Amino acid sequence: MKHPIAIFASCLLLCGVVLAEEKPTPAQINFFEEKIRPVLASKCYKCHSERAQKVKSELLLDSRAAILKGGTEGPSIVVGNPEDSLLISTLRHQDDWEMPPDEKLPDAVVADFAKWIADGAYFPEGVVTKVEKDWWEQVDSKQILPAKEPIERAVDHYVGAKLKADQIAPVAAADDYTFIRRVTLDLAGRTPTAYEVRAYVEATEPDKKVKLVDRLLDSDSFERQQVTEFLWLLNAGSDDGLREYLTNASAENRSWDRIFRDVILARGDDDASKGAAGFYRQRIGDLDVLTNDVSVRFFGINVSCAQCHDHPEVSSWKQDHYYGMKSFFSRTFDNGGFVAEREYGFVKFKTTAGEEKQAQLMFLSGEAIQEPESQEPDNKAKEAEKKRLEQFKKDKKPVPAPKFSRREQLIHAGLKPGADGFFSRAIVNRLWYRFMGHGLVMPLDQLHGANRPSHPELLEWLARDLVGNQYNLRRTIRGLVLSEAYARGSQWGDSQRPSPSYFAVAQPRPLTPNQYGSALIFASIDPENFKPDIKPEDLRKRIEQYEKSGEGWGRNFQRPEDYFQVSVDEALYFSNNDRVQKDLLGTGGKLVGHLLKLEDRSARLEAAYLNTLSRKPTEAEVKFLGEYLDARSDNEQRAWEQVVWSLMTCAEMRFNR
Amino acid sequence: MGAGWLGTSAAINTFAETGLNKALKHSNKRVILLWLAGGASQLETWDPKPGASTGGPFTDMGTDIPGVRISELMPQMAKRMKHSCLIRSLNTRDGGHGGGAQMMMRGRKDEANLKYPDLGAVVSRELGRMDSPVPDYVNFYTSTEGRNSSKVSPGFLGARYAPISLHDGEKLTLPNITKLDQITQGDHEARANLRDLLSRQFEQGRETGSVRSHAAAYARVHGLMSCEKLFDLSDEPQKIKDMYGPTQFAEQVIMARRMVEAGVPFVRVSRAWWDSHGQNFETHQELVPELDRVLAALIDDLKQRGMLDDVLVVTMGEFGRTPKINASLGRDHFATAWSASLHGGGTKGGAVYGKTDDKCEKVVENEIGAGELFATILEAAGIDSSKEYHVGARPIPLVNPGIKPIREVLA
Repeated sequence: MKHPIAIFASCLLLCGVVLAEEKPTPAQINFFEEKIRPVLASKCYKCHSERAQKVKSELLLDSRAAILKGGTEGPSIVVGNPEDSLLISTLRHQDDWEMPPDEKLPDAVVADFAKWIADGAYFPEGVVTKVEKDWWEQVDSKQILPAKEPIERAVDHYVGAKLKADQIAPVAAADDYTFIRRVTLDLAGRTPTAYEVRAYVEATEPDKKVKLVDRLLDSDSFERQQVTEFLWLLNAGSDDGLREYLTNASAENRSWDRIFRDVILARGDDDASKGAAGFYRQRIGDLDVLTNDVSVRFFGINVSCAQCHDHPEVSSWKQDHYYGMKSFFSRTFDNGGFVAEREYGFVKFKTTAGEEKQAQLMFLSGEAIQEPESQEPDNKAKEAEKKRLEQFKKDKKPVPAPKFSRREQLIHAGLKPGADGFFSRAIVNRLWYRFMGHGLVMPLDQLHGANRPSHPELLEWLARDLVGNQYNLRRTIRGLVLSEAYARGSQWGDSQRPSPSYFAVAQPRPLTPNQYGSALIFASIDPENFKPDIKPEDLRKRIEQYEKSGEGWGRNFQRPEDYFQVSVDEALYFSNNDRVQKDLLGTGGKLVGHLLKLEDRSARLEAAYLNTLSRKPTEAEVKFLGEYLDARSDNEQRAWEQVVWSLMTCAEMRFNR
Repeated sequence: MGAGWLGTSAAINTFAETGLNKALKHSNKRVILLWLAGGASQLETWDPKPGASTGGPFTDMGTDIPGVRISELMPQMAKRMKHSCLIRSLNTRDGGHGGGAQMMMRGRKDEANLKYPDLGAVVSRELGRMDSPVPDYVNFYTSTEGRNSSKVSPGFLGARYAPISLHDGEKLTLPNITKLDQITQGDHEARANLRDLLSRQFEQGRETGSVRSHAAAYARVHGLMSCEKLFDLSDEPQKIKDMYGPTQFAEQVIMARRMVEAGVPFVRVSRAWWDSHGQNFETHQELVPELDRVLAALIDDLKQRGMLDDVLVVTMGEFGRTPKINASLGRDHFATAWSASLHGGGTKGGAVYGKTDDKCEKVVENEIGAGELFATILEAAGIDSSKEYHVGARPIPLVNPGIKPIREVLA
């Protein structure tokens, strides 16, 4: 049973006694601020605070009086007596009430609460929410698993621990058919060929999974898939020259900090930097867009609400942070296609109180960055500057970099040891989301200190691992896909499906446009095109060619986001557009043609299934497809086209199962 | 949708409830938006200033509502003010085509990283039904205004609420609703059944919102394929066609009426191009009488069918036009003091809200912005404008905080 905290309502007498104004000791204050308040803020205030959007069970926990008053179930504590306090039994998940609803707090934390109640339940007056400790400050870096642990082991350690603590039995590993489909879609952006599926399923080496993952990570397809994914991450899919940059970066597995540096510092003055400057192309005209995009895409933090008001959930986030971040780019401008930067200029803003303020260069961590004095030039100097810039434009030359570059300060601030957590956590969380279908922190752009991850230690471990290994993304990806958490089946039993943040069962993930397009194209091709005895070079070229047409086909579809829903347009397209018939069905070099050459029906069905869904048909499927084939025996080609169509358009094809 | 999949905070996410509130969606409310692309002149339509230096050559005329006068170019509407509300006090602050269209269609400016859904997307989300056999949102746009600058967009609601867009240069029908000739009817149905069987097996134990939406989308195919008749006006009586007139705009508005009749919650019909930087008066002499005839016909038509109480008809564009008449006898873009009109469904007929000065240079009474109009249209369609959506954990109200509907024009 999961219920909001509930509390009883008598004992006014008792409360009266303890309410006697005794001056708290410094130790009591410290204990409250260090052990109690952070937990209340991160675990309870979402539903039990005056600032909560919706207060549950009428219970508020932001003052002593409110705690004593309690909610619909009465007072939450009996001061001096933790064992009779509803709050404690609730935190222990002892009785009907279990809080927080989806996790049991560690025993040590519950013991802190008991001690706090026993000690008089000191709660400072008048302060509703002070600066809360960020969740990552609550993770003891000395207590997390050692760095030498393989990534997949760390993943399974932490995911497993939470499942065990909450008594949720995870789903067993998916079968070989499902695994090779899933991991090929994820790493190569396409479905495996029938030959690849058969070879993997039939292989008996104990390390075949590792070999498969390593083969995929070494493939050209993986490089291309990385380009596609990072073009989405950085540029929402727009090329603007960035694709070429990413293609080169992906080919050499360029580290993530280097990509960050290349992109942020890009001036567009040489070939390499021209591509990276593609990040600025559509944003340079709008500083607010640029600021927020950098924040979201590199640091996982959407600062836009702080543009107009201080952050409602993160009390330490002020407008200063937003305008501080904006200041990193305030001197950046476009000069004839080059990304230039001035030596001077400040961001001014109006505070919510209406006061005009000059922003200070400030990173998300709150650290203000000292910079050399700069003077706004007078009108004459500005005129001269304008002329100079015009000349650079005319000569098609880049403007020389300023002596002091604010953009460069962002690189230092973002990668500085101690403050690099924003940068490393953001990309780790993105990768986790990409392969697991749900982030360790959700939403992906709310990685702030008050939004606790489902597995804080794991996120900290993975972020530390990435930094400690020179931001090698391929290494992290390898670890994630080799974990048990990644390899679980996606089918849950009869009971209610657990929250995706447990990673107890794989999420069926809607395919991205290029995955779906490629899945369809590969499904439609005569499997003999991928025979293993074809010269490797030819096979590679062939695969590349089909992936390209898959990518083209994928342009029909929208990139799925959270709460993705299949559109009616898509269903209509598959049902009635003649491109489906032309590109995916038919006989010449196509699956349908191949099927018709096979002898008997069961061989045909098996071949059709391996090519489309990367598995063998079930008995039930053989039966109902057989019934249709019998009924349509007058025209075999038409009959098999419809079977292939239904395999290509069914839900199983649309999702990474 | 299983709450389990949604986990904790996401349970309040309104994206997730499609289909859940099916029971609530038995409203017959619909909206037809007549979009005056390019920006019509308020002075030659709803807010004439005859005799003023800015008034232009046309005069005004009295209407069936005492004291309310509109341009002489609208004699038909002058007899139908009892079914109309005029808003004469819009100050929408954006005089660009793109910016103005965005402002009017979405009720506000997008944020750096948040694209707001337009009126049609919100209305279709609120009034559309998961199992509806007709589209939720149809947009007839003109090639002059262009598909992108129409600023029609589902924003953060996603493709599920995007309109089906049709432009005037092509055959007016929905894409992909006609069965291909090379597939027999039998095969078309049989393969849909097979796909359904396969999908249902896959859904077992994987009942997430996204997985379920697959079957829901395909389930609508059959119904939508029978929509073709909505575009075929051959069965529409000649006297109805005569009422609306012989233009393409008139035909599209008849189609819009057929659609709302069939249950489409929101139809946008665009008429272009009102952007009269030169020869403003010739342009309006041509376009206003057409609008007058079509709008009056639509009101009569809906009324005869007993639908006028449910169907809200709106006219607006990106902005109005300057009171100042320029050297080319044109009027330029003007977002400071202009008009929109509301008719039928949910509104108080005969109401006039707001007032401009003698020359129509500024609003002198009850000034409102695009947000208020947006909220008013939602309320008239029976949608609570104070409702919030959630993008991730962030609550996003349908209109910006502090924006209220105009109660004075709501029935």
